[in-house]
Amino acid sequence: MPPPIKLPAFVAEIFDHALDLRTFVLRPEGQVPRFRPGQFLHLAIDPFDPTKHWPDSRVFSIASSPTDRSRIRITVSRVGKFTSRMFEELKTNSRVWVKMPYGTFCPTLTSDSTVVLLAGGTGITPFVSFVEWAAQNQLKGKIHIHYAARSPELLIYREFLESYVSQHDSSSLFLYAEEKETQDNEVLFGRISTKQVWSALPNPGNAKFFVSGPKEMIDSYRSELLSYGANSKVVFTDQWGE
Amino acid sequence: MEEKTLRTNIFTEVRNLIEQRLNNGHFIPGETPIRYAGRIYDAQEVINLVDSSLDFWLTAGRYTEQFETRLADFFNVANAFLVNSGSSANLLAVSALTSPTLGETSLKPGDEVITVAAGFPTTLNPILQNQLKPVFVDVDLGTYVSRGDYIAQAVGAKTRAIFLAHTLGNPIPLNEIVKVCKDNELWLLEDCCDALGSLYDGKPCGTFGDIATLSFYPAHHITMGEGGAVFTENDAVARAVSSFRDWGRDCYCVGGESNTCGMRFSQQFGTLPLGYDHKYVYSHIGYNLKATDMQAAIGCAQLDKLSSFIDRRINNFEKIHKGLLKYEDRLVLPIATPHSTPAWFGFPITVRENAGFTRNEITLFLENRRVETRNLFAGNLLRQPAYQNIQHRVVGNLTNTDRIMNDTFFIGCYPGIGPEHISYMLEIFAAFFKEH
Repeated sequence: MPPPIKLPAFVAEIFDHALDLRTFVLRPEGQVPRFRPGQFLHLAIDPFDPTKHWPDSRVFSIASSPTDRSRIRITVSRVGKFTSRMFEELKTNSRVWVKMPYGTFCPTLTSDSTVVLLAGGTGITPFVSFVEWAAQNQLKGKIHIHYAARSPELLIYREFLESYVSQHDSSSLFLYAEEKETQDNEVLFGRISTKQVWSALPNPGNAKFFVSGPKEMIDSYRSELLSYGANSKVVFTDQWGE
Repeated sequence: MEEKTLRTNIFTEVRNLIEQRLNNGHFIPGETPIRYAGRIYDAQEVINLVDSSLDFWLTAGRYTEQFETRLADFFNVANAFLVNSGSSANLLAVSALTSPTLGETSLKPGDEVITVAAGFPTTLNPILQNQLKPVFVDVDLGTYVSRGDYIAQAVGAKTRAIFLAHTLGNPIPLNEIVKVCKDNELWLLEDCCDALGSLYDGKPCGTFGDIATLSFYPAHHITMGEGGAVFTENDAVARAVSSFRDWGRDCYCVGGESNTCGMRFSQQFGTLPLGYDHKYVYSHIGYNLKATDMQAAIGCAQLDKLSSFIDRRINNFEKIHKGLLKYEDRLVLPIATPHSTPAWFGFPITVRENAGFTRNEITLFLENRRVETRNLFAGNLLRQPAYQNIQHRVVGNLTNTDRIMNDTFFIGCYPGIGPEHISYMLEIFAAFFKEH
């Protein structure tokens, strides 16, 4: 993976999706460092002094394609002290520091490959980077996406993913609302069904599975996929924070 | 006074000192040596060096990040690693390919690596140091690199890799060699220590194979005193490079950082206890081949000049070539590999068999008149004392390699050479041929 570097960035845009769910678009001073879809960054609110150690920071999956070297998108859920500071202190044009890229949770796509993505909540972000990158580079191959959130409104990347799938016949998108039933026929009620994931694949033995979301979800789907017969070498999980 | 202001004042004084020093040099024909190579710099290199020293971060820091990023961008590859020399870079490149993390494709003791004997020892040494077996092929006079057909003939049942230098900046015939690699599933390692900026089919050398290396020793295209780099597009190979460079450890956090992956205390490795601190988990028997941030600081200023350095090397080469064409009946002049634009490291010359004088006679004549010369490195490595008992294979013969050992030398074409130096050098050649 490309060696990580530290660089300042400005908050270019902020999008509020829900009360505690926000997307920040960052514009670094200089180019966005090279990274692979699926990698993450460390974000520091306090300034970094190169003569000292890196300040307090948190990690966020990059939710934009590496093809665009001018901006980075992250989607943040307010869950603790640091993310609360982000919600309260970061405005448009605020200066932050990022260091990136990190991580090896990086799906790849070739013309004969089948990639299955299972995401819960903001766990979708590394897959957004991947799908956007695959679209921009016109990569062939099958991408099957299973995307769950607590309620339909929290499926914040739904429109983007639907647009991708509509232009790629061999790919598919399954949406799930875990806690709130909906009249929307496109959104299934309940958690992602491993049975459905497995049965929707013509040849599951050839697929690679990527699971991203809360730790309990990752552990659960990993174990279920293995019980369905997936080889442990083709089940990848976004394990940060264990 | 604020640190920023203090630094600015210091930089102003540094600039004054260096500009005064650099303005003092005047070329005096016959007295001022015309080096075969040397460091070219201005005040910015020294200011960067002082700036980094004042940070006192010492190990890889902001300048290293900047240098690696810019180098990766220059080659349009994902991964570039700064190391402490070109020889270390070569050692890392070969060692990385022995990593068990690469599975069946990794190099194993006894595997064969095709290379040449007409070159620098530390292209060959890592092959031997990793218990691999070198297979030597000959090179052509004029290009000083090998040929696709020689390489193809050398491929045997145990051949797993090809490791070749773009000698003196002249690219190996990459189209032919990449085809041999593809046909036979071989790794291709490009030693670009002499060839930063050389192009083949319009693309930078180093971007055709699986992994490539650079040197930043003062004789090279850019310098930081001691220094080198490894670059690759292959992430799995990059991870192994990083590990071998940094003591063999599995963790990739840079100095002063911890737990950037968030799994420092939660993983299982070998028979270590679950959650053993990842910072002290070793997946390779590695080295410490890292450079300092002060070296990188110099390198950043040098990168700003790289494009002009390359242009001046090419221009100097052309002028020297034009001036020596009249002696082509007695000297083999250098030939660029087809489809290539070399950023020449030096200007190689081979004395023809019927020239009427020896290599040492002409180099002594030049040296006595302050025109520095160098042999083409080790000549024939297999005739050097260190390599008398190595396990190896030779395919074909090494006739031209021996010719190079006996009859080849090179003179400088580096950016420190200007029109007045070239005129003087050509006068000295004319004087020699008047006597011979």
